[in-house]
Amino acid sequence: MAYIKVEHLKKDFPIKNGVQHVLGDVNFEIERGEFICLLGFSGCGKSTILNILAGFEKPTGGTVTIGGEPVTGPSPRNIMIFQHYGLLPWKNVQKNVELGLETHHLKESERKEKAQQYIELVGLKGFENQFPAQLSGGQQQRVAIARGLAVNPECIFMDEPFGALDPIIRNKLQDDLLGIVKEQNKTVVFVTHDIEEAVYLADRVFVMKSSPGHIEKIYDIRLPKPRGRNTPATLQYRKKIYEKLYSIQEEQVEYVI
Amino acid sequence: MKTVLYTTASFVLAIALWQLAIIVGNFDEALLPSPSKVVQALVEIGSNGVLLDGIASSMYRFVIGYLISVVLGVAVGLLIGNVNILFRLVNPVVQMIRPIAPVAWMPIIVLLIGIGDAPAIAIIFLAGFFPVMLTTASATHKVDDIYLKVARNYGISRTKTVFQIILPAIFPQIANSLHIALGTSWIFLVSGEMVGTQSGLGYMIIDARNNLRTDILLATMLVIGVIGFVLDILIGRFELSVLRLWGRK
Repeated sequence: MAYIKVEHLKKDFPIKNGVQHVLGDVNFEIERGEFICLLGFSGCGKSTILNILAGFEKPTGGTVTIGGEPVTGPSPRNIMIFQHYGLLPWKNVQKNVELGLETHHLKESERKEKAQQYIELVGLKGFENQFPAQLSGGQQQRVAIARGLAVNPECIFMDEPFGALDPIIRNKLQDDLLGIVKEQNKTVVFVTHDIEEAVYLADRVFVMKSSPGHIEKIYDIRLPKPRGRNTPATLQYRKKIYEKLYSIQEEQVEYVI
Repeated sequence: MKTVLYTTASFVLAIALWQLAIIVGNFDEALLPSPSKVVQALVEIGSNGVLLDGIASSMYRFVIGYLISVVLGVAVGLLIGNVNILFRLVNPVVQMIRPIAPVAWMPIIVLLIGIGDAPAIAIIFLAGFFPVMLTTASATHKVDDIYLKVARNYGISRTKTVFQIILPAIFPQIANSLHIALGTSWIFLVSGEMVGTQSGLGYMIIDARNNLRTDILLATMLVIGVIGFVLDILIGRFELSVLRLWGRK
């Protein structure tokens, strides 16, 4: 039974002399616990799909259901992780992580303890009293992830979350993310334009192209995790996806014996 | 340390130029007193209590007027900033009233509420209220979209979003408008006192003019400048600490 179901999704944006067809007839299903990457160049509509799934935008046409229910707006059941973190600069790490818990009618001590649990999970023990301005980009994104996990969402939607970070930190966070997601059994939809990242993280990669945005092909990455970054199998997937993305014709080799 | 050095040098230079102007221009002592004469006048009004009374009157009005303008400015600014209908109804009239110099209000204010503390407080209020209110409303409209998205994502109610997310988010801009409003209000206080009161630093200037005591007049102007200078430093520090905490400096 598909957990996330998208049928005939269409999204138009009004522009100066008419409309821009950002998404045209997108269809897909995602099972619970899957890690999906939406991969494509800028403008292909991958972030738009994510915003619609998370309830920040409404589709022009088609249906979007999560857990059998249509998406009507943002909800703490489906948490978005943003590229630029979205931490509140006037609150320290502890208070930022507690943000979503304030509506949960917990005692203050319970709230504190729960936040503490997730701060440790993302490897930021000891940083509770620091403010976002004192943290590096990678640390800030960890806080955002802890904040998101603390409300125990069903789905985590990630919009190029490691895009603003350097490759070394990015790799570390990718590994940490895989560990956390596996342990917590979350359904993840991850937007990226980095092929390497998509192949490393995803169970399935949805390669998207634009005009109007649509899913060109879905790749099933049948490699156990954690994966090697440069094994022959990984490289093979990367090559295939690269060629699809850049519309390079696969070489036809003729054998003459 | 360097700042103190430069500041001192700046004042010393100004005083030197002043003295030079007197020597070169050969002004009548009664028209443009020398620095030493002004210092003497300063000592005179300082020791006979006139200066202290004037400062006390002015500061009393200033504190009340400024605080009211700031509190109301932020409150009204938040209200119209967050309720779009109110903003569209209120803003056009505000934009018409705002350019009317607070001093221009004095005649009607004095007619309506008489001479004394009230008109001075009213003028300070007018000078501070509009900038603070408009900055708050405008900053509310410009809040980074990501904060609002986060608020919606985590199910935070509209009221809570206004007070716990929007208000802190725009606090640096509010702090800046408080800084500017402080300076503007102080300036207008003095001009307000020149037309609507019987006490305070502004009144002392008019009184000195009427008695042809230009030395007292300049001494009073000096005091007004010094107080304004100190107030500006104090609120500048406050603004800086806010910006630091919000991670912008």
